[in-house]
Amino acid sequence: MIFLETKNVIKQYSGHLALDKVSIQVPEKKIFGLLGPNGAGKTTLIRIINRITAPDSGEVFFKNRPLEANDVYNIGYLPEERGLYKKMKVGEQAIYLARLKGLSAKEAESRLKIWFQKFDIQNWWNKKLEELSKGMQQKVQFITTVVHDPELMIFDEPFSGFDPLNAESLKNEILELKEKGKTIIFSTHNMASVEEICDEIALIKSSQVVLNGNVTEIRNRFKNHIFKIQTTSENFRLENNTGEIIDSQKTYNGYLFRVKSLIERTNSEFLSSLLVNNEILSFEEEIPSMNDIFIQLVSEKK
Amino acid sequence: MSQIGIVIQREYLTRVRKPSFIILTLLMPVLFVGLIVGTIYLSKLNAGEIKHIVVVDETKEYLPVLQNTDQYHFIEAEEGFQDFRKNSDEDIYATLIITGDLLQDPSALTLYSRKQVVGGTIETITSQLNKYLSDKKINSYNIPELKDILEKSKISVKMQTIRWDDSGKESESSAEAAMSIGMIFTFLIYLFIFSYGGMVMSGVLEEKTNRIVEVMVSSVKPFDLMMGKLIGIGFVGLTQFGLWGILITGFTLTGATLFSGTEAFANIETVLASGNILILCLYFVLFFIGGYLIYASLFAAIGAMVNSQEDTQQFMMPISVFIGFAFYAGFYSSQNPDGPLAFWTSFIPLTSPIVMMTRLPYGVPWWELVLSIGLLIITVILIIQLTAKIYRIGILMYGKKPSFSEIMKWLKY
Repeated sequence: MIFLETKNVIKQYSGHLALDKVSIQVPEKKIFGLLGPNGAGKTTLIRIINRITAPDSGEVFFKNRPLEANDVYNIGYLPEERGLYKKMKVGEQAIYLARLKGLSAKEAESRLKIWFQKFDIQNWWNKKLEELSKGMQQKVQFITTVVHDPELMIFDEPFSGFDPLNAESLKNEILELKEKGKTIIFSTHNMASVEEICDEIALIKSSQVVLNGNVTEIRNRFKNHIFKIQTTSENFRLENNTGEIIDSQKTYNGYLFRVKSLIERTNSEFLSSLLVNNEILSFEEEIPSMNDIFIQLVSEKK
Repeated sequence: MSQIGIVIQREYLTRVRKPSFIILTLLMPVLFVGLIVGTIYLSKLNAGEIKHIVVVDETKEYLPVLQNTDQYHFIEAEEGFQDFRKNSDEDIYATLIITGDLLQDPSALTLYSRKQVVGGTIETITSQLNKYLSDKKINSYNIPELKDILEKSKISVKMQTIRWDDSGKESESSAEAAMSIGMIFTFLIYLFIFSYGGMVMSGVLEEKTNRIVEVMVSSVKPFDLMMGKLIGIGFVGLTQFGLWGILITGFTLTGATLFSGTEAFANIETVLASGNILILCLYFVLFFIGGYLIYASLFAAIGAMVNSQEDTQQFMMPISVFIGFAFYAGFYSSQNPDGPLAFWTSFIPLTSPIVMMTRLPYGVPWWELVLSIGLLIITVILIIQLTAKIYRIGILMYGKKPSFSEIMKWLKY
C-alpha cells in the first residue's frame, strides 16, 4: 500500500523552479530514501509534505486521501536545520513540542519519561538545553520528533552532527521504528547508509525526479556487466571480442581481474565460456554502489 | 488546548518566571514610591547640617537682627576681617561684612566664602535684613499703625480652576496634576510598547537563529505561532502593568497614612481620589494593546526577515523614528493638549496610543476617542495581516538579508 504520494507537485520561488512535476510514492512501513544534490529541491518537497509550504500545483495524498491540516499530528519531522530553545529546560520544552503535536501535557510527560529512560538521559530533564553537548541535544531532538508516535517520520540528514557511535545507535533506532510499522522518509547524502537501510529511493536532480524505485532493483538496473574473476594464472584468456580486461592485480592465492563483458548473455553463459581456458577461483558480478549511481546520474548533463 | 493557546502559555510563562522580570516588577514600584517618600522625608529633615556664618558688623546695628535658623547660625566676629580671610577654619561657612548703614547704602554688605554659597544662604540673610530695614523705614515716617495698613493692603488672589463638562457639571481640575499624570502615562506606554515590542523581535529572532522554527512550523501554522507570541508577550506587559498598579497603590496608601498631612501627599491623594486614575488605567490597557500590536507585529516581521541581531538596526530605524516622533508629540501635547499637533497625531494609529495618553487626563471629546480607537483597531488588523505574510516567509529564509523588492514580493505570495 502507498502511504504517501505526491502527484505532479510544482513549486516556484521568485524566478526559480524548485520542484518540477515531482511525483513520488512512499510505500507503507518502508524506509524511503530521498536523495539528490544540494539545492535539488529535497527540502522544499519535505516542507510541502509537512504542510509548511503549499505547492503551486499538484497534490499530496496521505493514506490515499488528500493531505489535511490535522495530518501533521501524524508526522514526525526532524529537519536538517534543527534546533531547540537554548534557555529552556529539556523536559519542559520536550513537553511543549509534544503538546503542539497534539498530546496532552500528562500524556506527553509519561511518554517522554519512557523515552528518556530508554536513552538513559533521565538526569537531563531539568537541565537547560545549552548545558548539553551537541550530540546530547541531537538525542533530545530525536525524541521530540518521535514522541507523539506518528505513522510517518521524516528525517532530513539525521546523521549530521552525530559521532559514529551515536550515528549507529540512531540508525538502529530508525530500523526499530520501521519494525514497529512506521513509514519513514529519509533524506541523506550518505549513500552507504542508503544501501543499508532504505527500501526504496527517489533521486531528485534539478527539481525533477530522475530515478526512483527499489534499491536492489535500481542497483541491478545500473549493472555495467563488469565481473570480478579470480584465477590461478596471470594469463587470463577471453574468447575474441567477448570481453575486455579493465584491471588486474595479484592476490595472495592467485590473480584478480575486472572484466567487462561486451556481449549480451547470461552470467552462466559467460562463466561457462571462461571455464574452458581458465582455472576459476571465484566469479562475481559487480553491482554498482548507490554512491556510484548517484555520482553517475548527478554529473550527467541534461 | 488549541495550539495558539499552548504557544501563548509558553511565551507567557517562560518570561514571567525569569528572575529579571520578577526583580524589575517588584523593584520599580519600590523605587517609584521610594523616590517620592524619600524626597518628602528629606525635605522634612531640613538638610541637618548647621552652617556657621561669621558676621563682621561695623555698625553693630544689624548683628542682633540676624536670627539663627535651623540651618544657619550667625556668630559675632571677634577679630578683624583680615584674619578670617587667611584662616581656613572648616567650621566657618561664610563671612558677612557689613560696612555701613544699609538704609543709606543698600550695597554696603558683602558675603565672603571659600565655597560657592547656595541661594538659600543669601535668601536667609537678605530676607531678615529686608524685613528689619522696611520696618525701620516705615517707623521713620512716624505715621501710627502704618505697618498694619500696609499689611492689610497686600492682596493676593487665590484662583480655583474648575472644568465644565458637556452637561454643565463642575469638576475641579488641576492642570498640574493632569499634566504630570499625562506625562507619566505617556512615558509608561512608550516604554511598554518599545520594550515589549523589542521582546517580540528578539523572541522571533531567537527561534530563527536557533533553527527551532522549522520544527515549530511543522506543527503550528506560522500565523498561530506569531499571534501566540504577540499575545503571550502582551500579557506579560499587562501583568507587569497590573502588578505595578497594585504595588504602587498599596505603597502609596501605606505612605499616605504615615505621612498624612504633608503637602506633597495631599497632592497625590487628590490625584488618586479624583477617580480618573482608574479610567485612565483602563484606557492605558486599551491603547497599550492597540499600540503594542501594531509595533510588535512590525518588530516580529523584522525579526523574521533578518538573520542576526546586528541586521535589525537598518529595519528598526524607521520604526524607532515613528515611535520617537509619537513620544515627542505626546510630550509636546502635554503643554497644548488641544493644539493641532495633538489633535491630528491622536488619530494616526502609529502615534495615537502615545499621544492620547497625554491628552486623556485633560479630557477628550467622546467622538475623538471613538474615532481614534476605531482607526487603531482597523490598523491593527491590517498590519497584522501584512506582517504575518512577511513573517511566514521570512522565518524559513536563511542566508542574505532580503532586499526591499524581495519583501514586496513576499507580501504578494
